[in-house]
Amino acid sequence: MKKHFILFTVSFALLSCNENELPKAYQLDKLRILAIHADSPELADSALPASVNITTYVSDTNGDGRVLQFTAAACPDPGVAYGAEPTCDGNPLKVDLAVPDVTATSQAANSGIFGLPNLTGAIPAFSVAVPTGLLTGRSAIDQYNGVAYLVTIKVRGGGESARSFKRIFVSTKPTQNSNPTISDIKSNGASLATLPSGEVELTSTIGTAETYTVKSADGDDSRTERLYTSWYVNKGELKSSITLDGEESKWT
Amino acid sequence: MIFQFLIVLVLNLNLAFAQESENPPPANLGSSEQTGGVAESSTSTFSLEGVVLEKGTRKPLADVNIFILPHKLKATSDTKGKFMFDAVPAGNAEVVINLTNYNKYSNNITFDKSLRDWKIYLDRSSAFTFETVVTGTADKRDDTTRRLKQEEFLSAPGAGGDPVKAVQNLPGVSRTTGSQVIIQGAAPEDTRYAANGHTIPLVFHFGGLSSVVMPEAVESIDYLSAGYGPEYGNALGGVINLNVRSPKKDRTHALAYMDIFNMGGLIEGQINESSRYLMSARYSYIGLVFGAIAKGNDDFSLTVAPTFADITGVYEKDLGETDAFKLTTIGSQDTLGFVLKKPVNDDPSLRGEFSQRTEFYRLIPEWNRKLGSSETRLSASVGQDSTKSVIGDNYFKLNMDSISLRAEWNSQIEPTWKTYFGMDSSLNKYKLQTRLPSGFSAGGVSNPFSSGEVKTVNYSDRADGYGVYWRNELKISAESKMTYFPQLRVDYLSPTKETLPQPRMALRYELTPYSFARGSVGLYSQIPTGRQFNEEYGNPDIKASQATHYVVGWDRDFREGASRGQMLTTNLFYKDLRKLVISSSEFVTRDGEQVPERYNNKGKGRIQGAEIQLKSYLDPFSISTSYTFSQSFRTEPGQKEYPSAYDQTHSLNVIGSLQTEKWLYAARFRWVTGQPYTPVVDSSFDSDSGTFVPIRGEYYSKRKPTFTQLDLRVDRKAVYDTWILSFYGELQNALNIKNEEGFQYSYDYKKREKVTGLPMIPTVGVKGEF
Repeated sequence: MKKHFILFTVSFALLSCNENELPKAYQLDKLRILAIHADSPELADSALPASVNITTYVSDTNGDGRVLQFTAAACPDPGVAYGAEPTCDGNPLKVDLAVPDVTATSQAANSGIFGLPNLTGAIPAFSVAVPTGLLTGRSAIDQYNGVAYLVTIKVRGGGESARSFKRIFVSTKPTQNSNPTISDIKSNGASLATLPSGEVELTSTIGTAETYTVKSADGDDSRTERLYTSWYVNKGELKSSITLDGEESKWT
Repeated sequence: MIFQFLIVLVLNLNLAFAQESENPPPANLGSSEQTGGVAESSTSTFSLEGVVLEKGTRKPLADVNIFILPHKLKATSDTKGKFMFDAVPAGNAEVVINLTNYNKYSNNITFDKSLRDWKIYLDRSSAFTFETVVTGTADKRDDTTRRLKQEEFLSAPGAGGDPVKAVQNLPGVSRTTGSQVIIQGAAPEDTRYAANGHTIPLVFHFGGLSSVVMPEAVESIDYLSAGYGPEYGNALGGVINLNVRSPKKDRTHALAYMDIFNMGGLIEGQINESSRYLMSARYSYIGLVFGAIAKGNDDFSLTVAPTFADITGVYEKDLGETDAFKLTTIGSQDTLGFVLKKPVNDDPSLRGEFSQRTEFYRLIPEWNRKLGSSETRLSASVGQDSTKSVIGDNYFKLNMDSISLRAEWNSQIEPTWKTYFGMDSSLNKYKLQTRLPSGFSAGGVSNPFSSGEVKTVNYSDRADGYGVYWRNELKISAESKMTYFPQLRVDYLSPTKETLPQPRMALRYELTPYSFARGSVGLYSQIPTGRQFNEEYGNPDIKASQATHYVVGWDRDFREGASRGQMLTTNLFYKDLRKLVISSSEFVTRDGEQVPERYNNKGKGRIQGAEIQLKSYLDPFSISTSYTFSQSFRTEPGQKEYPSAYDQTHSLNVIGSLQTEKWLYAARFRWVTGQPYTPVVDSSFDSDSGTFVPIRGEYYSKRKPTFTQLDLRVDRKAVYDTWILSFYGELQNALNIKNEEGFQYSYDYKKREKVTGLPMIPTVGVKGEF
């Protein structure tokens, strides 16, 4: 019965959700890790050991091109979903990963690579070796649904720092999860070729959501992915920082 | 619309008072109706019958002397208030009545043959001291039990007439966000709520707005703190029990009320000589207020306005000289629904459709038999609970069939020995359907909804608890000043498969007839919550939490039988807590497989404190001052001892009231140490869910500022011959202090803003009753 109290409290709290002075998630105004991409988000247990390429998307719009230093590690998931701190520190199976420092260099606009002038984009990728034995001792249900191998990344620059983590799942399911695709960003219905001005409706063209099965003690549950687009801007205001499927977000 | 309602209310208030003052009773209050009832004698005198009633309640007044002057005639009313004069001379005369607690009645009347059915209404000297007729009152067995009667909680400042909120005025009781009750440093979930002795699933609508039983249907509320007796179990903190009252026997009564948030009515009366009934119903339109607040918010659309409703019914029947039957019905429903177009806290799971519907009902039959020095009580509670919550793509549906049984036999075996044998059991069959992430919360900080592993659960199961108890009251001799209370309770819990013996012992020493010293020690246990022992969301190997309570105290009634004076109550308490259920991120081996533990019993704690309450009855003033010093600590693996979330070291409550003939003025001042909180020292971006996971600092190492609040209340009664009209106005947080209740963090927990409590809130209400 505690849940209904939480719901009602949330409902009163949210009424002021657009009235506080707190920074918004879509604002690019400090050193941040925006995403960690694994070319294989899920591996079959039978395919291990295997290497996964990790691409990290970073934003440092106010960093003036300062040097960014990275620390990365990988280890079996300590149980982040159950409250464990998302870190590999202290884990006897921790593997340190070498990620070179990054300094912003001149770039072509919209290349998606971290560099001047946008200071937002991908840093050079590195690989993670996912070891065997992750499913050892786990229940058949957990083996099917997947056990995570955690990749943690920390970036430092000029006194600021940011942390992030990514799970690479290992499972016995017949078809592993693949990354969603985004093929276009549109402004007022037209592909976004140049940065907009004024007020525009932004939408993303995303691929098809996959269906998958989750096992539990009560049986199999068939689910369909919900694909969310996270939006970031360094100027102006966004109506929604997260949109679902093909929803629009208004930028002013 | 709200303001239009207020204007109408104020106009009606002025009109009612104007009507009352336009018809003043002749010569010093009280009134009479003269419509007939006469027998003519052969001379100019005649016999005259009449009845004396209490104004407003129409209660017959017995043993009242009525004088007719200057003829020096006197009559005395019988148990039904009726009186008769044999020979009243025709003509003018003065009728005089002087009765303790009532204003003097004096009226000049012309006596003639037309005088029939003479009714005299006597006005009480204070409109706020109407006697509450109570039958079948629940007995108070422990010295640590405190009881608030209806007249106390209906006019308690800051409580809005609510009995459970009024309990917060008692020593040892504090509050946290949403009116949750903290008993002596224990968590709100460590308090068991009951009605007529049977557990109810929730005591508040919407977690803190109003209790689920209409206050006018509640006779009293019991607050059982550390050291409570064996009649209850499964609560490490304490017990709050609502005693639904019996219907009045004299005649049909009814009331209706309306205030800013809800309205309701009650009717009760006699069916025949041996049976009677009571029915009450309430409905809240708080959704109108909520909708007005939400109007114009582009990100929020209210689809189902929050409303609550509750009904209470009582049927009582006397079965001869020794037996009595009572059937109580309680029903409650809360509903709410809205659509969030923008995710809350940038958590993609917290968007879309939100809806909540919670309802339950209970049928509570009770049978009592008193035979000589023995008494037998049987009662049951049969009902269903239903909760359905939808949060975006997630849902929680719980349906539970609930039966609880109570049985007790007690007997005065000898003048120095009274014994009680009893049973307190509950049988619960439930069906659970959920699709929710396995959430994690520690140190009062919760991980984002999206960061948990989504689980789908669909199963049925049972959770039963069987309890038996034995209580004794013993003296070495009838003259002995020491009374011993050896007690034992044994519980069997089916979810944890534990048998838990809980011996308890209490002592009372009579220093003087008005002064007692007391002490108690005992073992207590508490079953884990359903989520904690559930196989999918919890740990099926979890066990019950346990505690040992130690209490010593001293009570002194300085009034020594008088109505004015002081009463002092003091308590020292210590609780040793063991096997507390805490969240765990460890993995354990279960049935040969590595599985997440989620919860374990590795938590420990201690609570220590002192309470003092001084009540001063200085008619027409009364002042109650309560101070509680309380420290509550917890320890768990990996953390050094830290203050618990409910450590409120100092709590001061001062309540004063001034009662005049028609007005009651009351004020409550609260000053409470701020609650501890856990700072968030960093965060990590979860690239899979798009949310940030908080990194917690030392648990509860920081503290919020003190909580200070002043509440004011004014009650006005307009007492007419046959009915009473009451108005109240309340100003909660009269000083408009922005008490800090919590924080709202930025998306990455790097910045935060204070969330303050409710500002100054005026409320008004009107009630008519007869």
